[in-house]
Amino acid sequence: MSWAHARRLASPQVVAPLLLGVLVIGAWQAGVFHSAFNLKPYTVPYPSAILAAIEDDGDHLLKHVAISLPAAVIGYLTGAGLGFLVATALVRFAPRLMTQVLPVISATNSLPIVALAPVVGLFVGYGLPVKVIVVAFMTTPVMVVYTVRGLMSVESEARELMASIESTPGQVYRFVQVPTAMPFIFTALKSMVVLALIGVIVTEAMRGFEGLGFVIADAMSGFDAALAWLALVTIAVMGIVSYLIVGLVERLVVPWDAASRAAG
Amino acid sequence: MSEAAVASASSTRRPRLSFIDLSGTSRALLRGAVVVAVLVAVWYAAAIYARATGNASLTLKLPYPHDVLLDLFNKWSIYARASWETGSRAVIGFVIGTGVGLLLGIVMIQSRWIESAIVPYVLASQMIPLIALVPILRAILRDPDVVRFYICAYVTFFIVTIAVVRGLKNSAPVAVEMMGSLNASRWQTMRFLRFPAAVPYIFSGLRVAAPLSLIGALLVDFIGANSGLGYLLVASLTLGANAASTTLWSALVVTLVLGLVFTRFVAYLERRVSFWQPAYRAGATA
Repeated sequence: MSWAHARRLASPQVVAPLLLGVLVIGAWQAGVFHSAFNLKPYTVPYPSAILAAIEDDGDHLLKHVAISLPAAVIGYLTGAGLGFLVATALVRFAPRLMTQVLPVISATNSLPIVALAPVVGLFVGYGLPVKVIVVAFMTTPVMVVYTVRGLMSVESEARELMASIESTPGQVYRFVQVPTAMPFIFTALKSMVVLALIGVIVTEAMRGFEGLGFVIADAMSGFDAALAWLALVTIAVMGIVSYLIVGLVERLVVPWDAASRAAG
Repeated sequence: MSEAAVASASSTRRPRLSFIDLSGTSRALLRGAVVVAVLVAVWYAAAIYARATGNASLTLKLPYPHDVLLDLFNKWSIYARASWETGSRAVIGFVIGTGVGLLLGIVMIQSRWIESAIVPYVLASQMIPLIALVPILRAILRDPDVVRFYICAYVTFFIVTIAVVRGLKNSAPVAVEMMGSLNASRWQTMRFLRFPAAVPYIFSGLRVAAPLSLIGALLVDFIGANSGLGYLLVASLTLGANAASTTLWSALVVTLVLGLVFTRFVAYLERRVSFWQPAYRAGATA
């Protein structure tokens, strides 16, 4: 078993990305990119300098994480909840309206919603609310579109079975439609993670005096490149960890689908 | 595509309104007109309410839609130039990114090692807001135009690469076997089977990338540039006093319209390029 384990570790899937990562970081540290593209250490610091920044600015950065993260999470949850409610209301109570409204909602995906940030900020100021509203605006349509798609994708056999045992629409919704929609909902939840972070960062970088978006913009204009890059790495880690958490929750909530996806 | 499926699934159940049998395009146009009408009505209601409260600052912040329209008309050259500055850069970056993404995707599926080395990073980049790179790129490259090209190309190429790899590997095994039995070369299989099969995937990637590349260009305007739509949005907050909020609303309207036009154009291209897709052939009203 351990032999098979070792074999798997040695497969290209594991070795190749690690090799590439080590190569790139090594070349970066050795100054290959700096001399090739004429980069300056005060705009692109060496990896060692970014590591060193953890010690200097770690606490400072954590303070700003504590401002950005709640905004992203609250906006994300608002968007998810609102999206689910709207989708449910449309599917259950206004199916006719839905066929007209859904294309409109999915069209908002193609709008640069962040442009709303200054207008929203005009009314509510540049604290937590503006970020929550912008993130909710960005994420809600995604949730609505996927949830509707999921609620509608019930197989007709299941519908007929439910009808034959005289189940109410409420029961069909609870026991058939919602479970069917779960994989769709998680697809939406996954793509909303990065949208939430984009919304928060753009709003912070644009205006305001706190949060990771502000730190990056501020540190770059003050030539504290190491801090800006550290903030960038922090945001990347936040994005990946959040995504993995959503994936984990998906495994717990819809084990049947996650298993089939892993097998396929 | 799937919205169309949802729409058709539900339309089979309801009786047809036969007396106004609109074609797909005119129905979409009608729907757009209704949406705009509703938005304008809500806006008017809010603006009238703001004036009724007698709150001076609220009145200032929320101009009437016709004020904004008038502003757009009077200062159209400003908005046209700003749209050009942001939009053209976003499109050029988008095109560069598409090209790079296509090439990288094709290279990646040639070798298992190359693919497995790059794929985790490409996937990870999907979970990272690349937009956060803008301030850093801005410091490295200085010229806002170059930053716009870079960031738009960057956002696009990641999405396109994933779509290309997914699409190129998704040809039906039966079809691949048939190409083998016809003694087709690697290039012929690519040209006649794999690439056409990948086109829908590529376009669904492009539809995601289009608004993101515009957001990238806007963010460059927001921080540091002194041109473009994003700059108009931010500058109207900091510089002006009275007329500024009208500028803000006008710039917002222009930005949203630009985003819609950009994505619609990508969707239009998709119809032209991959017209053989069942969704289009059946005369579906997507």
